[in-house]
Amino acid sequence: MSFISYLSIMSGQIVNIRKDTGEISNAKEASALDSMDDVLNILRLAHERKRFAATAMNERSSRSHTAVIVHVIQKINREKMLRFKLHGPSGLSDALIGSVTNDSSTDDKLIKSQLHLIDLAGSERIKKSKASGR
Amino acid sequence: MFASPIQSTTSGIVIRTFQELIAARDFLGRNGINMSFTAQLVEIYEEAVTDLLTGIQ
Repeated sequence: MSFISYLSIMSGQIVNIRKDTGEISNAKEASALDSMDDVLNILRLAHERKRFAATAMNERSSRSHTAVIVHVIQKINREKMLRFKLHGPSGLSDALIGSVTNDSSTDDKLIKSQLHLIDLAGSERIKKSKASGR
Repeated sequence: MFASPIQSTTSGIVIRTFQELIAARDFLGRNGINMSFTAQLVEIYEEAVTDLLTGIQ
């Protein structure tokens, strides 16, 4: 997984990263995010903890890498999915629909996904910004 | 696909992502797919990993 190699290169702390899922195993997950308010709250909390340092170009410049790791769980009901396939608007991939409808099992299906959004510390135009360190 | 009207033109990619996710969850929820999500926020600074939700390094 590319995320693992990225972190292992940048941080040297591979021990903290679960090899099977790529999760940072000792990092707390936000409880279920139900609304934009929940999202803004955790972003605000995280922002307060981030380290900033001044560079010549920017008074408050983030000098660290930040990763937002989103865990998505989808629980799919087969009966509803079949109805959705017949009447619903298209927009879901055939693979997703097929994974549910091609299986004769009537059990609900769970799909787990992860999305990594990574903000790399600015190293652009180092001569001008006079940024140093990592 | 699910862009929200409250999104500003200066919204960053994290905000946009969550707005899409919430809109997608609501759309899928009406169609038999129950979607939920959680997030981890992590900072890497000087070779150390910090959990931004707890402050623990």
